[in-house]
Amino acid sequence: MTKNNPSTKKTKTKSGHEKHRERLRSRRRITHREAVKAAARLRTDEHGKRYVIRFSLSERVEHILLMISFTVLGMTGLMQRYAGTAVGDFLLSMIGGIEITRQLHHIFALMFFLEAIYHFGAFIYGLFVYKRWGKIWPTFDDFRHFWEMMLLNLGISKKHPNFGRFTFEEKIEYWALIWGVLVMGITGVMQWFPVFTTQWLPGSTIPVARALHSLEAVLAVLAILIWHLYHTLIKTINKSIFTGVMTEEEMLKEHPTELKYLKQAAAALDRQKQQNQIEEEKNMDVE
Amino acid sequence: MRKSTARLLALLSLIGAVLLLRSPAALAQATPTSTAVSSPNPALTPTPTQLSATESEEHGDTNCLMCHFDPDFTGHPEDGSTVSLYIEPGVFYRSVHAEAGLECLACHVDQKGYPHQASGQVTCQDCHEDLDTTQDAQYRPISVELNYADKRSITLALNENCRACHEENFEESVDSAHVRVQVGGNRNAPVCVDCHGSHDITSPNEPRIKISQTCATCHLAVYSTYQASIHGTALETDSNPDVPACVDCHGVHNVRGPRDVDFHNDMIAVCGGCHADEDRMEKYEISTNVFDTYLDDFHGRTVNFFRNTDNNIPSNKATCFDCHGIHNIRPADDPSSTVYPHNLQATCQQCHADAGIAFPQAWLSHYVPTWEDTPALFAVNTIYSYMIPGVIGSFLVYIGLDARRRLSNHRRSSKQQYLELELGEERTESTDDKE
Repeated sequence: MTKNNPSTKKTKTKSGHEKHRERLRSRRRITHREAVKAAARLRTDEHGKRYVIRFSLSERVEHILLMISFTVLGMTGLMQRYAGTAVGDFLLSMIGGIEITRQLHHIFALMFFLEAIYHFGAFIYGLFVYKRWGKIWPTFDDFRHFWEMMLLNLGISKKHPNFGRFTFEEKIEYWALIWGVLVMGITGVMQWFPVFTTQWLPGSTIPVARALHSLEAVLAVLAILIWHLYHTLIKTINKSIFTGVMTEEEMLKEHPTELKYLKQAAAALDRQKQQNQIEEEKNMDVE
Repeated sequence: MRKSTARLLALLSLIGAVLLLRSPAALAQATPTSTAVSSPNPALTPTPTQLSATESEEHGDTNCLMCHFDPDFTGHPEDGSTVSLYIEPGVFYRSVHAEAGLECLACHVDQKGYPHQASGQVTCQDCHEDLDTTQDAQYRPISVELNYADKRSITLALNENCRACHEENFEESVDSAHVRVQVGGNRNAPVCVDCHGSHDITSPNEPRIKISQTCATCHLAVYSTYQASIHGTALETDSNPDVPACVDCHGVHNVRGPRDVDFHNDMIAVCGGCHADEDRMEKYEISTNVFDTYLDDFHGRTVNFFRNTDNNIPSNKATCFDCHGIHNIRPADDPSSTVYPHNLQATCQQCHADAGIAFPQAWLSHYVPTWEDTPALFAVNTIYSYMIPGVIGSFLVYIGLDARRRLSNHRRSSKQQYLELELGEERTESTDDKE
């Protein structure tokens, strides 16, 4: 256990402030249920190779739905944005015209919308039933990681930040997507039903919605193409969103803090089990 | 010396020729032909049916007018109706055809010989019936039977003869809405002479108001609507050359209407042709942004796409006249205009049945967004014009730094993993040289 713990090696160089923070973080208390869940994510395959469950089946399905709908929406949407140019008109005629492209856009918008509703519903359910907040929320550590990453990339420091469940790069991606879903969803519905919209809002909101939808689409597509694909396909080929698993080596490289947490949780669970056994034996002896 | 002699000879021979052909018909022929040759438009110079010198000598206008100058000269088609066969000579001589040197037989190609022997319609008795019986022969108006079903049949049959000279315009009219109606069975659909006139044929657009008035012969209701429109008023009162008359939108010989599938989509180019033309619009202080702002919006983009790709499918999105009105088009500040603020909701409701009072504002009335008029839209455009390059740029900088470190790390780590390879003779030779 201690072997994998990077903190033992680096204690010498740490300042008092950092030590204090480290202690606070390491003293985190988790519920028994959380520990069971965490321990269950540590697996060993038939060759004795250890791996970690990273995404649940529903999360993987969500990603596939999102991937398909986003791709179709992005393509059909940008074609409409660039209708009137030679390339835009050519692609639109390949699909079968601008009206069919709009129908496709609406159908996949519905798929995207339902996916977003499911995702939000699943979060609310987890929050109220299991008190599960998730680990995607931005934390102070993310800013620290970003700073460390910049120092590393500029060659000023040699220390690689120890990422947790989600790296700040993944969090940027996620929250950009949430922002995108909100903007695109609201402005999209406004344009889809302009008569309904103008019963509640001033008419001048429609051109605003149209401009927002169109510009945010360019931003979103470029962000996916550049940011997301660099981090998942070019930097390393990360297939965990499809397979749902990550090997221990990969975890150590990319999410060491998360791996540490899982192992500590499993160890704590073991300790508790042993304690319980001892107590049971004591009770048996008493009887 | 030689040159002047040749000139003198030519002059003498010309005078001789004139003296030889002194008959009045030949004289009448000679003068207009010379004007026709000098006429600037060679297409109007009638070559195929122009009469030869001998023919015109025998059957010139003078001969035709022997009978056709009689105001009481009538003909009877097979339906029993009466058709006046009187030609007022002055009317014809003022026409463009007379100016070009054409005579009756140029168009009435079948009426060769006297009196119309080809059709054999006229006999001596028709005019001179009583000549044999009584001395005090009374004048009797000539009345002949015509081998046509009715008066319209004569027009339709003779109309084919326009093609001989005006081939191009005739062919163009074959695709027109008028010919389509005619083929559909309506014999009253206009042919060449219905618009251009027959014996009184003159330039169709001088003065320009004549164009619309010609169309008004049949399309009277539309014409009176047009008269009250901004275009019509300017044409009627100021004879403004910038405003469209009927044919400027509908086409001339290939006249098209709303039943033509490509008419709806093509209208954006027809209206845009003038309204995006800065020179023309400058005089009236009309914005030329109307075309681009329309194309940039939902309706325009769709209509333009249909027009660019498959124009035979009419788009169901609004084109210029769907909002601005067709023949009743008026400026936007005219209270009776379809785009006057108070009328906008009703105009939108033509397509968007449930459109509320706020709905028309969804369209920016061809305005380019500015901070004063549309602050929200202007702000969105401005913010994103910085945000997109800003966000994507910082992503690229981060990725660039990250990729640079990873690549240099990779190079460094692979340095330690070099393996030695035996590459054969070439390798050993080169090392020998060095030693």
